[in-house]
Amino acid sequence: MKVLYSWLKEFVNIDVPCEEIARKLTMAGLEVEELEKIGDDYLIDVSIPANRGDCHSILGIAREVSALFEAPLELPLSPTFKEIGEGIDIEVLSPELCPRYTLRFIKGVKVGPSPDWLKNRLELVGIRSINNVVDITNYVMWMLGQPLHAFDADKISGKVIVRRAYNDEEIVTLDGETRKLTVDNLVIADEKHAIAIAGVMGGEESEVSFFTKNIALESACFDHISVRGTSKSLGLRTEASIRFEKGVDIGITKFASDIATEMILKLCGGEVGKLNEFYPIEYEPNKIMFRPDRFNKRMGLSLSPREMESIFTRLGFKVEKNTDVWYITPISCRRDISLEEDLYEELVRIAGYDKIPSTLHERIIGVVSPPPAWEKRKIVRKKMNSLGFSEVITSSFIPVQFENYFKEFYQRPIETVRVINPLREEESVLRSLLSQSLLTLAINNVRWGYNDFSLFETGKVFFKNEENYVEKEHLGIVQSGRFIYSWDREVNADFFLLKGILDRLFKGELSFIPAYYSVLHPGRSANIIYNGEIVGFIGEIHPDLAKDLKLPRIYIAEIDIESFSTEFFKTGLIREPNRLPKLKRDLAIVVPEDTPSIKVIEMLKDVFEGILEKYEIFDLYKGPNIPEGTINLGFSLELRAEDRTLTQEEIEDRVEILKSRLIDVNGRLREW
Amino acid sequence: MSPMELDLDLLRLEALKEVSSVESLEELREVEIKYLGRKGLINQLLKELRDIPSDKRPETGKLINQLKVELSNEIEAKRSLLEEREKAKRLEKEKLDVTLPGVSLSIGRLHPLTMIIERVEEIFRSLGFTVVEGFEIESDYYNFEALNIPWYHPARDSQDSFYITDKLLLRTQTSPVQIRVMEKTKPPFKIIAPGRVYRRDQPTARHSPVFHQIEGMAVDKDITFADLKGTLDTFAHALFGEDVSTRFRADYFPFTEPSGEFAISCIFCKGKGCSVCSYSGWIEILGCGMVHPKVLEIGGIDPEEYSGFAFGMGWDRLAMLTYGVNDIRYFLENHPEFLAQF
Ligand SMILES: [Zn+2]
Repeated sequence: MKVLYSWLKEFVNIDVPCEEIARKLTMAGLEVEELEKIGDDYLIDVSIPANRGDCHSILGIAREVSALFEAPLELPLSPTFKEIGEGIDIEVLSPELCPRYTLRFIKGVKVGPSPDWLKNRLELVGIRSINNVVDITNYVMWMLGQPLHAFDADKISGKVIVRRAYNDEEIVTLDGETRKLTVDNLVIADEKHAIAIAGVMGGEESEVSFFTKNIALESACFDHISVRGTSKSLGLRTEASIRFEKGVDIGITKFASDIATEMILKLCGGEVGKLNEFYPIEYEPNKIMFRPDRFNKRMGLSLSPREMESIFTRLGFKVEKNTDVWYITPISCRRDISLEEDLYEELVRIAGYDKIPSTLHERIIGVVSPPPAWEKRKIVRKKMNSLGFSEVITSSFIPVQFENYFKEFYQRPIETVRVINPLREEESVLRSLLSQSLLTLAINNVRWGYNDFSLFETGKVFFKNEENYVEKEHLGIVQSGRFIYSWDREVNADFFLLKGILDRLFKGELSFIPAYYSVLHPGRSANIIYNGEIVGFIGEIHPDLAKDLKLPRIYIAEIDIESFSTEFFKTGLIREPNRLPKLKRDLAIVVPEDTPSIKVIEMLKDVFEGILEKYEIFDLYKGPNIPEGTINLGFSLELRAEDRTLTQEEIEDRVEILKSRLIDVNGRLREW
Repeated sequence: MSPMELDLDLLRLEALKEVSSVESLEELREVEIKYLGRKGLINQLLKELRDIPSDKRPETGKLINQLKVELSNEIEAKRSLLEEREKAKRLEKEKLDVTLPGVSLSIGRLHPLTMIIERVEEIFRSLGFTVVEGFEIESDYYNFEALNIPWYHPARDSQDSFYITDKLLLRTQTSPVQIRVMEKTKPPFKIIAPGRVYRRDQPTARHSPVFHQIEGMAVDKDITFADLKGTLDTFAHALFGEDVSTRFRADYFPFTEPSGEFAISCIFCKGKGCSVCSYSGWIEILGCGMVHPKVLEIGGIDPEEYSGFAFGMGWDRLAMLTYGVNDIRYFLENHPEFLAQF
């Protein structure tokens, strides 16, 4: 809302620098976005909050300035003129959408260009000058906040009817567009058809032009919800609709018409006809209970009753004072005020928020433990960082073509969540797995020329399970290229590096079984199992896909963190360090080459139960020294009991047991 | 001088010459074996003692032993010299070009948004606030209706939403958590709710359709607007330093009454005015206010008995201010060069 300082001063008797007015308006909730000096005048651009329809006018701003500076408000007097002859009949068929309607007939006007002062003022506040009649309606709207519309009276057949549109009724609006209406839209019509969309825009047919001689001047109050709905559904926002949807003062309808009529008489000539009015139920402002003590207590403030009364009065509110309970009647334009708390805001707004002290609520209240997801996320982030992986945070939207990637994880068909009104069609899908986001990021990294990366994200994934929308917290990891490197060595991203990361992070309690994923390398992908359930997956991006996406080898892993308890990640009770000596024993085990190593490991764990502290595979060998079709696994065991010093004999006894067990898997121990 | 003595003298000179001329430990070992070995020249001389007259035997034997001692001392001295020399050679060989680069390792870093939110959470937790979390897919009811924003409310204009169905949307603010907490928790409570929010805005340097907010709320029997001011003042000083000034001004939100906007003095120009603060000297940080009585009621809390305050801020913006980031889109873009600086 653009306000000319000189225009403002016509309504409030004030003599302070414009910068000070701008500052105080801003502090009181009417933010001045720009203050522009124009000659010896100022243009003040005020941003009006959604609840302050009353401030979409010079008068409304003037009322604020008057209250803030304790400067008297100077309202224009209601003009009087003699009405000659008949008016135009009106009929309001939808009073629920139009509580007040006035139409004044003015005969014999001379439509022409506006005088320069009028043109200038309108242009400065951003309104294009059309002709004197239209300019006057706009001028009065800007001044008083009441949208007005002038019809060419000779284009109206019979009486003017305020009614809902018929479904599919059409009207050509002033902007030349044909608009199709529905029964939800309120129109102004004559006996033949619609001549305006109520509160939004007039029709082209009844437009006031330079040939117009007689006009019908409409000033009305339309329901804010209805105007908003119509304006939204037609995609048509006008200065009128903006004001109506935020609430126009029902008390000002006739006054605004009179002010405009007076200006028309002065600038366009003509004779005033009759004003016909529909206003069946006069607006009765609310009386609101106000408790001064409660106000001070809630705000932590100590305004005196005198100060409170003064502020209410300056705002134009009526005050009925008793000792404890007052009754306040707001001015009719302040439809935003209906509760006691609304009055509190008025008081602190005008008194200034800086009057409120700064205290801390000392009572210690309700410290509850944070949500598990939050705690786990924190621990996982810290551990991933210490493993050398950096965090990324990616968008929840993924490219549509990745929608089904990695979805084998869910083991059953799940529905992706999509937005019905995306900004761009290719960004309408919410990720059902973090890997979809991380693959997108990997593509970007490579495109930017970064082939070495080790990244992770903790975040939400979304899917629809039958009728429920599910949000779950996942951990995703993506790795490519070199992890540790220099001129003399290189540790590169690969399956086992990533698996090792997961082993550290999840304390070696995960197991891995080969699994099929259409976008993963068929020989290098696995589901991750914890507590007998599939909680994640790991793999290398399928070479075909990598080729299509111009990617190097990319390794990816994802885990549903919600499958783990918070305790899992936390440190529990510790045990005493074992100070007994450790024994080392190396074993060379030859098994058929298709034997999964986990089988041998499980066997070792079983045979050396209670004394196997650590095992390591230090060698994998296939070749001339062992039979074809077999593989040699070199194990290094660290053995120690909790309660006794192990003897070599005990260990050899167990090795003997192992030898016999190995026969079951067609394996054997290779002697050194 | 007997022939033997003469031999002995020659042998000594010969041996000392050989010891002093050897250049390696292996050569020295050979010399040692030649003279002092089991079948060495010295032992041979001792055997030959039998052949000389018995009266001369002790004298000659003494001389031979003297020579043996002298020789082994010489050899030992030479050995340690050679050993030193070889060690020096070995170390010389092991010498590194210390100016070559070290191994490239990466330090795992947190994302800047995480760094900021962890700091913010820490401050509010120290003030007694509990962290809670909400849903990103929310119903229209929790996101708007229950927050006193009916379908026709103009405030919806600034929060254009992504819809999943007619009634479900991606939350446009973290405020729905307020309602969910009130429904489940009996006052008193103080909560903060960080999380991701979505608005259907074209991405620009200042707006991202996906961004992050943190909501705060406190409800008790005697919570005042002054408590809200105190809490936010404390927060701002903890995050931005003791020397920033703070400012509250009136604002409008449908779910708080009275409502305010909280600003800090511009940290870039110290309040003098610059492009970051649009030459106002102030930077808006958050919106806040006393919880609207209707909202308390909807949450099942009697507004006569209880009062509360609430606030909400964007943490992408906090991160932008803290690290001087000019484009909000950088956060979700994750450019390696951007991330490497945190
Ligand atoms: Zn600045």
